[in-house]
Amino acid sequence: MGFRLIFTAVLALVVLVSVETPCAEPSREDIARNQKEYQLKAAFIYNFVKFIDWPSEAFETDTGHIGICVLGVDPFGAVIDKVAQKEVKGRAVEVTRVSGLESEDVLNGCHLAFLSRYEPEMAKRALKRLDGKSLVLVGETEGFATQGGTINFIIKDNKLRFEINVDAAERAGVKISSKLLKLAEIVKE
Amino acid sequence: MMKAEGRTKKLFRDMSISGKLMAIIMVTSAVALLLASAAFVANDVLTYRETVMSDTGILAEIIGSNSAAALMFNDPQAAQEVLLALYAEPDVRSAYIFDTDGEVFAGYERQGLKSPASPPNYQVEGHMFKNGRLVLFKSIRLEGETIGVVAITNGLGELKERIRKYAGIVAVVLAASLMVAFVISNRLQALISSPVKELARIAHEVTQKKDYSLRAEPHGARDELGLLMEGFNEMLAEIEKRDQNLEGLVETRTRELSEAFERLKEVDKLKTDFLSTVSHELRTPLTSVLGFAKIIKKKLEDTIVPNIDTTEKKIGRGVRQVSGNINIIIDESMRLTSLINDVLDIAKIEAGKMEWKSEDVDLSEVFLKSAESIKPLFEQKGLYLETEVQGAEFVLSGDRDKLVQVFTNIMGNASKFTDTGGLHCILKSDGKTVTGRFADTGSGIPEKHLDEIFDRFKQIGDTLTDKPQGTGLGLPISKEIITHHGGRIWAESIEGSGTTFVFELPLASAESPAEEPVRGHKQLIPAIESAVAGGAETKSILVADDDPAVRALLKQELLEKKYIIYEAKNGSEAIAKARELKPDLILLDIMMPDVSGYDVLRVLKHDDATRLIPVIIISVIEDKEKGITLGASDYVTKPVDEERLFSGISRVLKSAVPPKKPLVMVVDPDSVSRGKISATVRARDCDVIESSGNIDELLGGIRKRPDVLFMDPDSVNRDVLNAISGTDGAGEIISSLKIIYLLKGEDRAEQLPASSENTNE
Repeated sequence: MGFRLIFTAVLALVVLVSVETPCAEPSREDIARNQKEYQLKAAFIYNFVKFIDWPSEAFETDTGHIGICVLGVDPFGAVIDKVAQKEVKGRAVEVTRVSGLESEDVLNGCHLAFLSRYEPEMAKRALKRLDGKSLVLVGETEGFATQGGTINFIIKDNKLRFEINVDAAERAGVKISSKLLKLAEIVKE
Repeated sequence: MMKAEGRTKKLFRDMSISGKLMAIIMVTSAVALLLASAAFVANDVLTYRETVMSDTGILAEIIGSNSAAALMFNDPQAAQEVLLALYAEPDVRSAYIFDTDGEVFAGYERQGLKSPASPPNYQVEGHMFKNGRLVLFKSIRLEGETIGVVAITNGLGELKERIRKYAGIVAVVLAASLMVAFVISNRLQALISSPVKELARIAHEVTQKKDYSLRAEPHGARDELGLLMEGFNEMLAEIEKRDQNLEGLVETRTRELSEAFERLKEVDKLKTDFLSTVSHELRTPLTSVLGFAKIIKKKLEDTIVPNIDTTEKKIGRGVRQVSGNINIIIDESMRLTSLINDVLDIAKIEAGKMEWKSEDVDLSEVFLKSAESIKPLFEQKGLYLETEVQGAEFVLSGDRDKLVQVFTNIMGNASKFTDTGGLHCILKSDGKTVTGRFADTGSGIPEKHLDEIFDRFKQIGDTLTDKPQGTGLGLPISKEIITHHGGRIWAESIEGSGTTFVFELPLASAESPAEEPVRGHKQLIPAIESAVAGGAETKSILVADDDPAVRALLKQELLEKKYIIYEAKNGSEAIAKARELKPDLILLDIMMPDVSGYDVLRVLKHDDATRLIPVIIISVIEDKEKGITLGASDYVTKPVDEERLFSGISRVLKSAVPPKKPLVMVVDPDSVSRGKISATVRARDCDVIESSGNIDELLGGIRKRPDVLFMDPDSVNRDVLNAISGTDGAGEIISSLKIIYLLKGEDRAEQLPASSENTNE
């Protein structure tokens, strides 16, 4: 499978991207350049699903799908769709792309939602709209976790790492595996 | 190895039964215990291995599970941290997490290992025990997907520790168990070994002491050993019973036998006593009858006949008749004597009491002398007696008198049974055996009787018509004598043409007579010998006998031989006269009223004054052995055979010389010549006085009473001797001296015998 190879290969790109264009408007070129980075993040997101337990009320049926939603700009492209071909804990994974938060129930089918660094406004709105929902918000903006996001990708020692806000997880009613927590940097609000 | 094994086997084989039993018990216990322990330990080790494996598996599972996230999120450090938790497991040497490509993702190696750990060859699942370590691979799975592999190497330290501990425990338990087994087996083996030992002890004791009254002490149990013991005791009882029966039987038989033996002894003693009495009673008067008959005959012939007128018919006839009658008396007395002797001989042979001398006997000499003595018998009948001696060695060890008896018996027989012709005797020696052949021309003996003639009291011929001419004991006695000397005798005969008696005698390990020690002056020797031994006329004889007839007879006979005779009529007188007169010989009777001849002999032989006087016993009692033992020189039985007696007397007197060595005086002024003669004389066992011829020297020497005087006639002549004779005592001595003159010459040895001159004065 060569996870490590992929990781190392992608690593350089990630560093480049994060350093050169920290807050720039996403362009088609940027997205293409960052393809490798998002491949890694897609894998991480898929793995997150494996280590997170949602309450059964969050699913329509016992075999109801786990919904992964990409809010706003989609930096993954087809990479994230590959994740949908796999099953986690007996549930199919469905990837939904949500372009806006105008309607109240756009997030209903989502268990995990990713907000790219290109959508800061949308992130703020999404955070406000969370209350009571068993939704894990995953971002890639600095301070995202402390602002109420559950998981936030960070770069540490040139490696892709992540932060977890355990309060947010608790609020969402999800249980994050200690194994995952062990790998993460725990932040509090 | 083989040797050691053999030794062990031998050691075990020779062990006592208790040792064997104990050894068996101990070895069995030890082996059983070892097997049990080994099984237990093996089981425990295997179980423990399983446990370790499953524990390690679980550990791997946990590690895998805990490091799954780290793998998923590519966080080797996190995985490393997970692995570090293994620090708590001291047996885990190393642990590695591989990714799906088989690359090491994270590793843990225990610190302070002796040999550095290294990642094992990658493998997805499984385990192996290798080099005392367990390497276990466990795949890390997440959501059914293998995301990596955990490999844990367990040093199995605890297992090893455990095995060590077990070994210790087993050793302790084994030692303790063996000690307990030793104590128990020591007690229990006695159950079997003590009865066996008891049996062995009793069996050994019985064998040693031959005491069949011993019993094994039963140990009470009714097992095989108990039965064995009972059986053993029963066997002993049986043997004892038999022994007792046997003892009783033997005792009875022995008593019966000894009673019978006592009776037999008594009877035998009675018979011997009877024979000795009879012989005494018969011989004493016979001695006188024969002796006086001979004297009468002699007187008649020597004194009466020459002095009477035989021309007168009546007187002449009377003299002839008297002379003829006396001859008959003498003949018949002699016949009676020989009959009595034969009967006594055969009785002694029967009783096994015959006494045998063992001396060197020259058989040819005996042969010729016997022939000479028996010759008159042949001449009387006009028969010839021819003797022939072939060969050189005839000396054997034996009894001379008995052998003479054989010759005279055979020859005498021939003279009796031969009427015409005569007897031809050949004595032949091949160096090993002497063969005597006596061929007569008599009537011969039928072949069927050839063996019977050697039986006692067998005489061939009709005893009614033929005049019995003997006791018929001569040949049986001869056969006994020949047999005693290791030879055999038989007869060969053709009826009508004579009989040949043949005997063969083996020679004793014939010792050749010793070489004469001196070569020179050889011819001197016979002269010396005759000089020393010949002079019978100077010898005195004491005749001790209580019977005056015997004394008179002996005196008469001995006087004729020119001996000086003293008489003693009883034992005490014999002792007194022997001391007083110091005779050269004593003729001693045994049965004397006051002191027996044996006691006289004993006294004489213990008295230094008389010790050297030879004694000849003349007795009717035939106990030569006793007489010789007491110191008698010879033993002659009554009735006295004169020839036998005289030869005995001269032999004894001759042999009596050595105790008092003959003293020889050599007179020669030439010291070289004197020395030569002296040496020769000394070699003949004589003492020597040397003298150069000086008168004083001569006189001193003569006073020492020499027996012989060798004198050089040139230096000392008769006149000198005569001159000496005048001095006191010397004359008497000189008159009894044997003087031999020596002639000087070129070859004295050659000339001496011819020119020596023997003078008796």
